Amino acid sequence: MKFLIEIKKCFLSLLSHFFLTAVFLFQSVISTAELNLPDTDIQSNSYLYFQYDAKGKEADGSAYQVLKIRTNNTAKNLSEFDSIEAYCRKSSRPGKQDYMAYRVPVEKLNNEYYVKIKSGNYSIFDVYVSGNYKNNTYVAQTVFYLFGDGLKGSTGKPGLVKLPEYLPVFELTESPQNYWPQTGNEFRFLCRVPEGSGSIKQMIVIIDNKKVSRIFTDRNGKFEYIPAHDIKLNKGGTSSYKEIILLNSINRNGKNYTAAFNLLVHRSRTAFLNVKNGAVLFTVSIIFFTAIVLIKRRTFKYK
Amino acid sequence: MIGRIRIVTQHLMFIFLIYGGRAGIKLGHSLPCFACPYVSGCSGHCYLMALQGKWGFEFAVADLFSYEGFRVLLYFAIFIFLIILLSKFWCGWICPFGTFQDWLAILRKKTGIRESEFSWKTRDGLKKVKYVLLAFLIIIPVLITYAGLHSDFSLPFCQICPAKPIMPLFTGNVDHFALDYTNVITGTFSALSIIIAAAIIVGSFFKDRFFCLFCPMLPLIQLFKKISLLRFEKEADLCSGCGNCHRMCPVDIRKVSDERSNKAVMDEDCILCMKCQESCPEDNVLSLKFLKYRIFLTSRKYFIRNNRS
Amino acid sequence: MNNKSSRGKTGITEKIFKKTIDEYDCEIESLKKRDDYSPVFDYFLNTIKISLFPENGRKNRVNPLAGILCVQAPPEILHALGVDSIKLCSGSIYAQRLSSDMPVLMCPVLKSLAGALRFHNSAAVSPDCFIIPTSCDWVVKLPEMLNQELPEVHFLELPHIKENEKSQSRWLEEIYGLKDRLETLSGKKLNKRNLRDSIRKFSDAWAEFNMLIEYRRKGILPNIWFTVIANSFLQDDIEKWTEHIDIVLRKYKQDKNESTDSRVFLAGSPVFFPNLKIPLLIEEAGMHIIADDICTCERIFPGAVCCDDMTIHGMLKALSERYHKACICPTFTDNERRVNNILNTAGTNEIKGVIFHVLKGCHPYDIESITIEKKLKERGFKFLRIETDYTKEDSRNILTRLEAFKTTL
Repeated sequence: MKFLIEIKKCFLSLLSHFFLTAVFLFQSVISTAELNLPDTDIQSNSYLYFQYDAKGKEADGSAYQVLKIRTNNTAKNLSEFDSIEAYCRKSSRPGKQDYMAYRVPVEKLNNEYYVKIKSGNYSIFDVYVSGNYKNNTYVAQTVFYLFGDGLKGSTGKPGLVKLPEYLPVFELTESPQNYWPQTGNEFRFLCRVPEGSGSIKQMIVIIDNKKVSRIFTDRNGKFEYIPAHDIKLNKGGTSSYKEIILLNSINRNGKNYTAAFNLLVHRSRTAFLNVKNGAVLFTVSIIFFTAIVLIKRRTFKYK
Repeated sequence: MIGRIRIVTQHLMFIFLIYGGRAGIKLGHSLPCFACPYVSGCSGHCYLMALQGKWGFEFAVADLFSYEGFRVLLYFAIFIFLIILLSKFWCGWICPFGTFQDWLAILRKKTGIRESEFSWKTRDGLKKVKYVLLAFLIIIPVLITYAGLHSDFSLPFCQICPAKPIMPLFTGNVDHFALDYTNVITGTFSALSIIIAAAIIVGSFFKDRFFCLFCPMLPLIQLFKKISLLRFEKEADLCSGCGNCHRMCPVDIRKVSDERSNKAVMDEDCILCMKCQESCPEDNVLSLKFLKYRIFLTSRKYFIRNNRS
Repeated sequence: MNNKSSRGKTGITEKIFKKTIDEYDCEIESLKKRDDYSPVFDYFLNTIKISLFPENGRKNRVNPLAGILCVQAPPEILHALGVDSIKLCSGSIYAQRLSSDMPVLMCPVLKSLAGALRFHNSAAVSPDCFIIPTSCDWVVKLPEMLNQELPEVHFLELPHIKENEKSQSRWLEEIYGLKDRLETLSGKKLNKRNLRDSIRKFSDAWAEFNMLIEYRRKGILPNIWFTVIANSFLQDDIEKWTEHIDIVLRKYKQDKNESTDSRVFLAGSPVFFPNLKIPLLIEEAGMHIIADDICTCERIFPGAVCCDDMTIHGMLKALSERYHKACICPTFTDNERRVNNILNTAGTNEIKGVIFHVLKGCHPYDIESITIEKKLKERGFKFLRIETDYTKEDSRNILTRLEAFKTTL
């Protein structure tokens, strides 16, 4: 009898866990909605940003990533910008402090601007684009990994140049899952700004062209940001992602510098795993199957 | 004697395949055994993963003449080569998941619980399951690539394979025993995976090599039986039909015992554990050959020596 | 028991019993006079006589005694349960006289056995249980013909088709049944360790016996003594028997292979002491029996049992399969493997001729001789079929035929 009660308990606990998780998922939807800031706030800022586009593999096995250069709806059309320049910083391991970069050509197609990054091996790319409009300098930045494994490595060594020093660069200092950024991960930034332009105290988080929240520096002068889980991502496949724009701006010598960092995150791989429930299910299954085997086992009796 | 050599080999291979990656060994993605890729630090990957994934049926045929296409063919070629070389030795002597099942069987023997048996009809019926699994692991990736099936169906067999939760346990990773609440598909798959793992553990405790009855790797290996360098042959005229081989067989193959005319007796379910050969008390009945060299030939003398003590 | 003894051993039974004892003694004496006689065989000669006097070997008997007929009942189970066994088989011509009420055409083995059982029945110590597998018709009907004179008969219904699941599980049920029956008889429960030890003892015995077979194949061990040793199987404790085989083996260990010519294979009906007529005649004709497939000679063992699942069920299953599937008794429906066995043994041991012994009335062998003859001749073996019974009248006639056969080899 005790045994049966134990089984019943296990089932009940399993059911309750399922129920609680459903509630949790539902709540996460509501909480994202609450975070939205009023739309009026967005009017004041114009910015330039990267949008992730096609990604794939070339016939020779190298991987590529196309990045679209976009401006938000309040900003001018890109064609009115002067000197749009793109830089790329490549490293083989995360957190490498190296300000040498190479120029990347900005391609134009159907009035849209692109940057295509290619790699024949496993590399991390820090890509920047800067454009000027009147008195404003806009910078877009993003970081991503490419897993190329072609027959030939990289297409020659590009000539390295020093990054323009005016760029207020985002340094992604720590990230638990470097090659696969996920919702729920803790991302830590350092904003490097040109000398004499003060320091950046706050950033705006923009998701889907909507300002969602502000984040502030901590004691060490770092920004910390944890992207919230998103049910839309969860429902999508393993490779579904969302782009989060982190925006900051400074004023130096009467000029405005606005930088937008595109943080691409995938759905969390670990946050929705529940080992405890799994263990309960496993135990129940073990008991269940053992019982089945013991009951159904063919026995030989002399009749 | 063979039995002892086999146990030692199995354990060495288990350590080699599960922990070998930590010593920098990389055997690639084409191993015809359940060297589970979910084990971090494993030294090689089960080909079934490559087969379902982008190096197999998830690969779009349009890209055949590319580096990726080359990889698909290369991995398959290595897979075939490994099969031709060692045939079912992969199952009975190398497969770490097989070794795990053998441990459960040893545990059963130690506890003195008798082995479960299937009726012949049930046993024959179970043969079809592995083809169903094989079809499943081929069709779903094709549907993902060409019919827009949700990408969470990716690697469908891996997602329900009992090796996925069980094998990482040997590196202290219990994550694959978790229920994945990300969405309905992952939830279903993870629940299914845990239930199947439990069923297989219970099954292999009560029945030798329970999972091998359903393993979709077996028909793949069997495809190349005709060109394999290893041959398992029977001299049917010399057989006394005593049934030792059938009784000792962990996967209950009757063919070796009942065959009366054909020379080739390697059944689709055979895992080449050689228990049948060891238990054959007649001279020259069963033999295992590598090319023209004979590895083992049954003899009464061997049988007597092996069964003494 | 008292009742039995008062009823038996009077008049004609007594007389025939004495005659039978004389027959045994006479045969033993003549064997002892042979050139190749050695005292190492005394044990076996004495053991063979136990079937006449079960009380002799079991004076201090505490264990129950079971008589086993044929080769399909696993003696391992008896041994594991502490049940002593004797083999029910008889080659006595005098004992047949006690079964004159039975059909004229009855197989001599069974006829003789029926007579011998009537001695047993009247003996002070007779088996407590008779284990009879339903092999041939004579065996099946024997207890009935004895008018329930046998105390306790346990039939094992032998499925005559070997290679299907139904018959195999049917036979396993019979083995379970035997186990139950013997458990009641001995008042003990079968336990794992005893059964395992028992299987091991019989395996060892088989291994030793197998060496004997090999010695005979090499021409070192004379066939007559091999037959005597095989005939004494199960008449005494298995370990003792094995020990004595070991003594015999040690005696012949030093001997070199004798290159014998005129090597023949003896197939067919049982040859049991004291009816050694056929082997002796073959010897007299100058041929050497190198191998046989007779159920009282080489086939007393089905071969060693090997078992992976060492639980009671696993071991019983192993026993049941070994004693059923490996048995090539002609009463089974399909005997391709029996022919194969003759072909292979003959082929690998330079045997050119096969002598097929049919006892008059032993139908299964009689029936089978036709197909075997055909298949053997196809493969170029010389074949001689000898139909006879226990009487010695036809000895000269058979000898002439055997001598003629020898010249064809």
